[in-house]
Amino acid sequence: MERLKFVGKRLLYMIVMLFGVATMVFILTKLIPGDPVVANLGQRAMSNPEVVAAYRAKYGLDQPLAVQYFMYMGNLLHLDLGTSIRTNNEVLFELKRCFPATIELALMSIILATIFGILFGIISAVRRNSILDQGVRVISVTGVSIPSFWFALLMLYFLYYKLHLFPGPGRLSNTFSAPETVTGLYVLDSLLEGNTAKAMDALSHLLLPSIVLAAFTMGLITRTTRSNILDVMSTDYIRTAKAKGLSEAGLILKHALGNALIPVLTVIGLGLGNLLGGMVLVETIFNWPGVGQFAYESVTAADYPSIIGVALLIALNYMVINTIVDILYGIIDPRVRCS
Amino acid sequence: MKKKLLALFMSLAVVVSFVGCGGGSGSGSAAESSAVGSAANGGSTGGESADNGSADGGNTVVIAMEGEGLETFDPGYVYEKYAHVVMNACYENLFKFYGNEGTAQPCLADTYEFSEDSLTLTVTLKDGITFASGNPMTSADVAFSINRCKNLKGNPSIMTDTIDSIETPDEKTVVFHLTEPDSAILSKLTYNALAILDSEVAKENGATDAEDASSADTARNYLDGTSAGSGMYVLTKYTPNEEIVLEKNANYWGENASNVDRYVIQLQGDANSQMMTLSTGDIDVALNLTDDTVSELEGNDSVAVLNDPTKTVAFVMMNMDESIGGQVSDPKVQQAIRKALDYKGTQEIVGSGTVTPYSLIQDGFMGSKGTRDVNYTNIEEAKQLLADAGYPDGFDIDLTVTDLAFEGTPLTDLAQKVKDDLALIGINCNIVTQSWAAGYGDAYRDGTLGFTVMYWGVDYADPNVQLEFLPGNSVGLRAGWQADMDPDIAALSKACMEATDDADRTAVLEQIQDATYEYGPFIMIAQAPAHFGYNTRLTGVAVSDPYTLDVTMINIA
Amino acid sequence: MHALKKLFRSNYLFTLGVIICLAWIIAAILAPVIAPYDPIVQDLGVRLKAPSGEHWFGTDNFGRDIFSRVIYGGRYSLLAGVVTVILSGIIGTFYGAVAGYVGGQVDNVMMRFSEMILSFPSLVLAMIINAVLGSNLFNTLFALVIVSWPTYARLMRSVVLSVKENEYVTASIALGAPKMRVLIKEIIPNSINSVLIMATTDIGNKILMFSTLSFLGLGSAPPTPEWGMMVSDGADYFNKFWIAGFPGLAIFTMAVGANFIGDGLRDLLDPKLRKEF
Repeated sequence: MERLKFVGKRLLYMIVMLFGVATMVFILTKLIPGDPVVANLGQRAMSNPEVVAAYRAKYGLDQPLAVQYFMYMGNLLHLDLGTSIRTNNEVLFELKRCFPATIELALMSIILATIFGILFGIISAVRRNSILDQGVRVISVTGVSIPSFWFALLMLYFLYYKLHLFPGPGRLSNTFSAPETVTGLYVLDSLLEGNTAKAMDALSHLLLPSIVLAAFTMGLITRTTRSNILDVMSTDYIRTAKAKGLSEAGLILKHALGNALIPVLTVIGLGLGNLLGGMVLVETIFNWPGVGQFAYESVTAADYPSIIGVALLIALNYMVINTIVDILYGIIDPRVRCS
Repeated sequence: MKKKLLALFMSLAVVVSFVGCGGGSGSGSAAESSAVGSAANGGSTGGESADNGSADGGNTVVIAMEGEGLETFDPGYVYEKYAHVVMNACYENLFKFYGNEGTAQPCLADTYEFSEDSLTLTVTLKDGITFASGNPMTSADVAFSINRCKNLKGNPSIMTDTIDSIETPDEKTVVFHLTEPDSAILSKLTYNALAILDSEVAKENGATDAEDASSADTARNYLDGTSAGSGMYVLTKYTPNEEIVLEKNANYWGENASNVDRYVIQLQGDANSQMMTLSTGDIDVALNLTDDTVSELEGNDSVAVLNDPTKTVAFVMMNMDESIGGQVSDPKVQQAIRKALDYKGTQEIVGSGTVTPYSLIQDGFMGSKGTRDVNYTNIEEAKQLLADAGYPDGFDIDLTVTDLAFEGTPLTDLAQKVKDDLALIGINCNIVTQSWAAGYGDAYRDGTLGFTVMYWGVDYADPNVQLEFLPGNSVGLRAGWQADMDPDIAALSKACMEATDDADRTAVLEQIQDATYEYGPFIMIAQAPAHFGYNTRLTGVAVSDPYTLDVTMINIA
Repeated sequence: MHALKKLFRSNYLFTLGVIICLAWIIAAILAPVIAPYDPIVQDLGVRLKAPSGEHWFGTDNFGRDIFSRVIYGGRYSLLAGVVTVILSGIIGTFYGAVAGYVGGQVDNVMMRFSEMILSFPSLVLAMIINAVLGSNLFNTLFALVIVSWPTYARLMRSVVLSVKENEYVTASIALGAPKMRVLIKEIIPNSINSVLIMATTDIGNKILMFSTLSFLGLGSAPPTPEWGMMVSDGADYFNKFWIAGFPGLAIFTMAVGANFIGDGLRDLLDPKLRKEF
């Protein structure tokens, strides 16, 4: 019951926050000095009053701001995100189209980041202050210091262009056509079609961009894992076990890791949230038709329904992931109680 | 708790094996692509991509082009440059440009005739034209399509400005009543937005040509995903930012000039990826190469390269209104700048194939006086002119520029070049960047920019497009150039519109170029080339002004 | 001081970080002396030349010397890193301190607002702010501060919540000290350590973010030699690796240096905070 109340409260709070985000973005986009008509009409048509008037009427841009705001919020209540000024499609449709691409990439990178992050973290905790530990530290600092756009260019230059080890930008080689949309994740959809070759191709296209994206999160996970294992190792309970003559490596794997990984979960959650929201550059460089690319194009076209749509989606992701992490925390660690 | 952690580790283990497969496939596909590459380099003529790419084993050609900004394939709205590759394949017009030079030729039209006063154009249709749906084409389809475009009031509706009304006395005859003589009307009728739609199919999907079409018409989303024309191909698939698929129209009424069964258009505008995939044989045609990537392809026997000029021009604009342009509104200063700019260096920055137009009319258009001598630059003269204007020591000024690119060259690059050139005569430019959607576009439209570098792409392939740069017309007004400032030049605009005879029009166009060679708020600094690359197994690949690439002319050797 | 010495001796990475950062600071200050060429003036005769004895890092599209431009570019990145961290640190500290100290509904509303900003993708938010205000160095720094302060606010609030319970604070309040005074004199000084640690580790992040915005074309107008913008220019000349390669390497080394220092200081100042990030 207590837990249910907690979840309910979080949900209510999420909805209020989403309306706040929508309002904030609405105001911000309306402050942009550009006229969306100019951004979306050609050089000749934008001087033609008749064309401009028709355009304004079509997208409700001729209404007073307050009316536009209440209309937008009203529609939002029944999940209508409006129509993109740029593409003339429903914003919801556009988001449904590009979100799976982002999810696929984000999942892949968080998986890579988690595996290597935890692995490196364990290694450097077990062999702390050794050369190995220093090496891992250098790797993790490199991960959080390397500019993603530069890293992406480097990877493409060497691994794709020079060495042909990886495929280039895009989600699939041109020898394949996109699978029927079921989940929108190409690897999964290709498998559902029974086309393993296509699934492998999609997977190999995922690798380069996800490595680039994983670097930062991996650095954070390594750091957190290491320091948490060390913390746990210094607790009485481990010391006792040690005194009983258990080996340190065995101890870490058997006892310390479980407790140490709980805070790591937060980092993974936050990392996933960041990945789902902040991939503008990598998506652009790898021509990945995801949310980041859509956000970038929408901002450049002052397409405010799309900008708000993207903002809501990303804010929602962030909040949902945070809530899940909080709840998991409560389940895994009995000391943390829902408060 | 232990159980949960165990589960966590189990899932991690699964993931590890999953990634392991991924790595394997990564190297596997690389091996594949390098194999394709070596086969292509070895002079193989067979269509590697065709074998892999097509489900039914027909001839497939893969094209890579810029996909950003592609918004619609609805003829009533279509406007973006790269959309014309698709439109021209799927739809046909009354007239068409076959090649870059010359004039519009009849396509769906059989014969045409102007009235004495040039206010009426009568067109008869060819016999036996059918749409891809099998429906026969009649004059009603023509009237519907053009009226719809006009009443949708979208971007391309400006093409119909001079069309007052359309009459269809019988199934084969269309009569256009014009509001004023329009020497460019045939060229306008070639424009893809005036393509002839299958009105029956369109109406079934919500299209209307009524007055209130701009709000009542709901066919756009339908037409974005499929085509309803009479063209050689049919649009079968469009995934935004990913790919477009065109299949041969099995019901094509005319002669099939292309043996390609299927086009896959990859929306991947990055020049480097295009260069790499072209050199490995993964794609057949690349439309967005750059000077730099073209040089990388040299020595590759299976790839041919085109560096042909387009009609897109970059220009410096100096506002004629003193309250806006300040120092640069002075014709003497304008001439000093004209003399100070380094046209040759600018050509180098934009890349091989770049030319500098003589003045307002691009090289290659009917009536054009060709190119400006690159040695026109003369720093001493420029300094003298500046001193005569009262600025012997130069001055400081803001040079505004936006985040757009001029056929691949960022406008900010051109602005940096202008800044560097003008520094030589003491004009110190402070470059101000402003994004198109966040103010620059508005300021440009409203004519409140004092000094800027901008570009202009022609929307229909006719020199009359350039009349917009004359005083009192839309672009002229953006530079504060009112008709009453230079009534003689302004009058040439009307004279050109009325000159339906080609020789007369050429004469007027030459007058326009002479009048603006060393005068006016615009300096055309470069006419950009397009850099295409294609696999030599193809013939008929050419840079097309109106369509970018006319895919109906391509054949596999 | 003694601790710092020990840090230098025991943590080589910290020492390396200090050396890297000092080198960049010196390069930025002495740029006019070190740079062999003017970073702005073009020379089309030598455009797109590979690295050589003449031009150590090669030349760009306009024939400008990339080494000189990289040296000058350090000024902008250093400025961006330090200024945004200081400003967002100050704003976040006060905001978080007030929220944590006052508590109740005020705290609730204040924290919800900062979370709203946090939940929003910072890059997109910065892009919109730049679109609203216009694109120049000052506005880009402003945008960076806007997206950065909530993290500090959140940290400060949590620290204040625990400090608030300390005896000396409850004592001061019981003795009738004015609230504002207690906040400034007691609570903030006692909580500031954590913020300082976070700030040092954050400088590297901010340098990265600034270069990202600059890569997207937000920031100073060309021909200013900003690193991010230089990488973006170089991306158009993919096979001429030096154009994007060297400025990118510069961003990377500066961020690595800042992170090594941050890491070391964190270990030194607050062993308990190691699990924060």
